[in-house]
Amino acid sequence: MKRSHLVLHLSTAALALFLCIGTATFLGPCVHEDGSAGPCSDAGTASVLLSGVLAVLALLPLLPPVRRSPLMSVVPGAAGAILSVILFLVPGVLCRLCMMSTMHCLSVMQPAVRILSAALFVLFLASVVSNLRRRKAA
Amino acid sequence: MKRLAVKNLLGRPGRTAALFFLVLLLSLTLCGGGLVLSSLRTGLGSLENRLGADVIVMPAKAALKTDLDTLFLQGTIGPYYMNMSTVDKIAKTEGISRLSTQIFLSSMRASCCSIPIQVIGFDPESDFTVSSWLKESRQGSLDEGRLLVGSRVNANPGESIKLYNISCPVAGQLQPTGTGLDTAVYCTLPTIRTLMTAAEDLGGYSSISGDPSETVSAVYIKVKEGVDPKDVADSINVHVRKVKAVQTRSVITTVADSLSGLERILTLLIIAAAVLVWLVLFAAFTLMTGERKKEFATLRLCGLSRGRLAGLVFREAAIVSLLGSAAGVGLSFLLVHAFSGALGNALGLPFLLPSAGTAATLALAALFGCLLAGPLAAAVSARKLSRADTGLILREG
Repeated sequence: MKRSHLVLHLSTAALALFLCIGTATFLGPCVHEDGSAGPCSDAGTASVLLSGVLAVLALLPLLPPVRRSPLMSVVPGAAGAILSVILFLVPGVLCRLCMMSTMHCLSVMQPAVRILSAALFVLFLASVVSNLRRRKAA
Repeated sequence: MKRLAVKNLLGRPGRTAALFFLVLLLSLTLCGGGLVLSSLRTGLGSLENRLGADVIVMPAKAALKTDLDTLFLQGTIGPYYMNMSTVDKIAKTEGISRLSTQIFLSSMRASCCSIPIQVIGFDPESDFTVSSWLKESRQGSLDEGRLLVGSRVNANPGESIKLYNISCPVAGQLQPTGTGLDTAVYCTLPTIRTLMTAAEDLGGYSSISGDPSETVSAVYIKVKEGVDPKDVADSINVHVRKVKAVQTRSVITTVADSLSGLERILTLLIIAAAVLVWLVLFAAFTLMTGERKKEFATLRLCGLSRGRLAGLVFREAAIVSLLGSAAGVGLSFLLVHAFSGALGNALGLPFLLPSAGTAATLALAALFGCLLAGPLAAAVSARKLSRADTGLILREG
């Protein structure tokens, strides 16, 4: 595997992992003063799960059985790109957020998830293109 | 020859990426910092426009100055009420041109209410503060039972907000002001009095004493032309008991003072960061040229003149600077726009993104500044390079 491919997959995985840890901690949904969860908690949970899956998908092409087949290594990239689009839509469209845009879920979680999922989409797409080129060369 | 600069850049992706990142950092600092500063200034201007009144009168037990700052910056205010008879006494003060009353009610974070929110009731007939804002927002008439929501309340027209177990349809959303008023909802006096009665029934509002239809929270006053608002405020404070009158200018002064301090610090930080990045950029170009001495000497042997060699270094720097600064400007717009809510919350000051014209001017200024920075840093290296003895470099091995 070329060094550029390795860098691409590792940086995608690192970004997805950052989003996963971030939405579980400092980028996460609102917690009320009394400790109860806000209506945005579903969006937070979905974002953590989806970004975790994205991190795994980014690392899959590095496994020897997947790496050996150029066609097989395209699949995780394509799935990752589709899941990134779904992740983009999670806060605010697929899952409800709080009603005040000064709250943490709307002012921090939503923009962070959207910017990072858009970046992940671009990286997964780049991975698909590079693997398709590899397949063509093979 | 024209393609050589691009080929050189593509041939060393690591080096090009490092230079690109430095220029990106520079333009991000300049454009992002400028956008934040401009948003704070726009927010202050918006606060001035929104205040509308010259004098605000509230019950004496309200810590008026602090409470007004809180209302305009955070959108919350304590539950203070006074009797309508007090308003009649205030109206007799000389120098008053227009007078309008408002009632404040805060909803609770409980099952009775969709969100904890400040409800502001106003009289559309006498109002001169909210009405102009409604016109700017092009909202229709506000019927009884319906609400207008601030731009930061995440509810669209047609949806309903539950306040004290009363479902209130949203009639429209107001234009953003960058102030705490964006987090409030607005309704007419009959609607807020219905909500007050519901709040009393639920036991959530112990501060309301007496008949809700005979109470108000604040009196907004516009003084006559040529009359000093301070004289009117002083006269009310002397002649009307149990109320406090304050000039709205004092609220603006407080915010303006905080803003000027923050502006100074931010400007210094932006300049320091920009100078630091430029110095690193300059060092990077100097080191890079030293590293490529042999490459340049070979090019000279191939017949490239000194001027064209300097032009090559210059062109490489210009391409990296153009791409890096464009990316930095784009990223700063994306980040400041996406996190404007979080930035406003963190700074605790009115924060409103500037108009498209101002934003475009800022972007162009940052782009121009960064486009100059790269080639300027490279110019010194290019000059040194054009003076170097080719034969000596190649003999040195």
